[in-house]
Amino acid sequence: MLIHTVKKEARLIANDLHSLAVLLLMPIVFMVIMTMASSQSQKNIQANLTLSVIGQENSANSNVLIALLIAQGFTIDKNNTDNRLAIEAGVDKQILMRQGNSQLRLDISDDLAPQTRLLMTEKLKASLSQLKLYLYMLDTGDLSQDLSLDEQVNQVVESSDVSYLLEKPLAKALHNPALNSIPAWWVFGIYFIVLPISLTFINERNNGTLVRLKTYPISMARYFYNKACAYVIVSLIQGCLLAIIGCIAIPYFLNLPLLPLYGLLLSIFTFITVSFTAIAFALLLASMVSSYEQAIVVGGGVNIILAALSGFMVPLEIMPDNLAALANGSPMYWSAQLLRQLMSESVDHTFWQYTASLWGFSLLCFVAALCIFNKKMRNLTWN
Amino acid sequence: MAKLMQIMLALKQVSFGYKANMPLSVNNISLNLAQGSCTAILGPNGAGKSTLISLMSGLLTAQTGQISYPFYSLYTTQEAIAQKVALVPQDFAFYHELSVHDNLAFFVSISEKNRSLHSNHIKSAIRACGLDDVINKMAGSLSGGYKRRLNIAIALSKQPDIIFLDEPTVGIDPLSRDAIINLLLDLKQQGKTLVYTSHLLHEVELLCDEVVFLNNGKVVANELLNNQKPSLNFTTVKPLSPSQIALFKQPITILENGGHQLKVSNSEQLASTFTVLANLSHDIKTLTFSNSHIEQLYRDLFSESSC
Repeated sequence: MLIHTVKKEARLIANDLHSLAVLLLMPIVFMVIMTMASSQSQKNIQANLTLSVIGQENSANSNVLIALLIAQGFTIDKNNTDNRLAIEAGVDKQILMRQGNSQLRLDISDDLAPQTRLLMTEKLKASLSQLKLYLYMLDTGDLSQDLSLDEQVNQVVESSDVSYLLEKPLAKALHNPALNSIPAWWVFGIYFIVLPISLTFINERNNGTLVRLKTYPISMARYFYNKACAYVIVSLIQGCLLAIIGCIAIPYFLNLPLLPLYGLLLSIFTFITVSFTAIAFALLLASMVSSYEQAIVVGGGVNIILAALSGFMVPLEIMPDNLAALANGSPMYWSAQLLRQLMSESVDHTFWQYTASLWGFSLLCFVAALCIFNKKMRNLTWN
Repeated sequence: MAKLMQIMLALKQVSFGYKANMPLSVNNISLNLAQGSCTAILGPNGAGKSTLISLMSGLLTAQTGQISYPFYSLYTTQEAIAQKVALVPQDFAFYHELSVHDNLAFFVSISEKNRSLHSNHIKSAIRACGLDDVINKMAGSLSGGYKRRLNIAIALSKQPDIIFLDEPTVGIDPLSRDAIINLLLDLKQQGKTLVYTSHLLHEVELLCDEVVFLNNGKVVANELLNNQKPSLNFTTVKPLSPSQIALFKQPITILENGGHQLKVSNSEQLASTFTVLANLSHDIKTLTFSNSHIEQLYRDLFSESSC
């Protein structure tokens, strides 16, 4: 019976274009878009570091400041009216003796992302620190006045370089931008199986199939187990397809390092864990809804909220602490972390914590789903 | 020679209510269903038909009274009895995205543990319902008539003894309807017990041996259909006097709506009745001739309770 149930559920999904789109197309599209976006983001931010400097005549050190800004990665464009650094009279005195009010004003376009605005401000501060160092070195004679401006700036940049203090990081897969997006949208797609499951439940209930099955010599609990097993198998097939596309095809076509999975057995175990959790959660939601509209709103809505809380859409590190802490209670986050650890070959003790949490969560969901399903089945009668 | 009928399903003073403070949906009903019989359960909406069928098919458990399957041994398990009962819901209770064969294969895989019998059960259901030509077609792409046949084929693939059918011919063309009616008559011939609900009363008369009329959860009439007679109904401008009634050779029933009904079983009776009616012609308001006894009975019983 299990084989026929698996065949039935697989064919129901395979013959339903909407289900295929939700289970395969949507996560693949998200994987591609978000991986491309994150791999290009650094380049884009750098391109946005453009500003014009006005009021250069108000400072004897304007040229030095501009040279230091360029050394920090800024592009100075006098025609840029969106991002402007205004130098006002008396700035030199303030730099040296901290007298008076602030004499520099940085106007940044409202169109720029908060991260870019923050980066721009921090880079300007770094340039001003280097300007102070420049003036100090001139004063102490560490910097020769006979050198050209470029040579002086190079010497200041070298003197202020602190990168030698940092241990050189190992080249790890963690630095692959795909590592953030691929597991996240992979998990998102796996959890979206809630829609096909809900629709099957609703169809079976609405067209009398469940009433018919209720008169068959099989307990509804056993039918439910079989259905769950069938969907776990369908989910594993979906997971394998997404693995091939996410770990090999997308990185290959985007010219990024591939994302090999760490250990075959551990990978299989992780796939089963993630799939079982997704199915148990989907069964719980599917057993609660009673119409197509509810399935879409509850099934889709809950998954999107969980994905947002899990840092799939906005990185956790830029979320407020309270919101970011919620991710620790999200099964989607646990699932994505398992896959990230597998892909980055950095399986540690948290891997087993997340695994235990997922199994605990899925068992709770499964028992609750079975209770709700059985209760609904008891009330199901002819017509 | 009278055929001895084995009772397949017996209800004894069965009652059921959904809520404690509400009237019973099925109230003290006793009923016997014989092997190879077809029983129609009729009544207006809310009469208790669905609840009664749910009780008979095991979907609900009776709160009082007893439902038994005398044909089966006392030691037969509930699971084995469930094997012998099949439903044909009014809706297409199958998977539209699967082929006819795959639908049958799925349902047979649940009902039959012995895998070597699966193929036989599928084939016999396909043959009985005339689905050979569409066996590999998607169920969703079938015509209404074939969908109805598949709905019945799934029930038959269970090899049941008792089949509950809810309007199995609704929404299909006359030829498909004839095919299904013939199929159901064949099933009766094979000794299957049918329980039938439909609003198409001429089908009920064609198929059923007995009609159970329900209202407010109670059996209000129970008619055997093996002795039907055409009936003549008329209403008069003013009530007939006893001397006028005495003119008729057949007994007259005065209906709830004030009409009169009499049954005629041959042309002689019909001729004499028309002669009397001709004498009363100035008093006759309406005159109808009906050969559908059930339809008339239905109207008489439920004309007030229906909207």
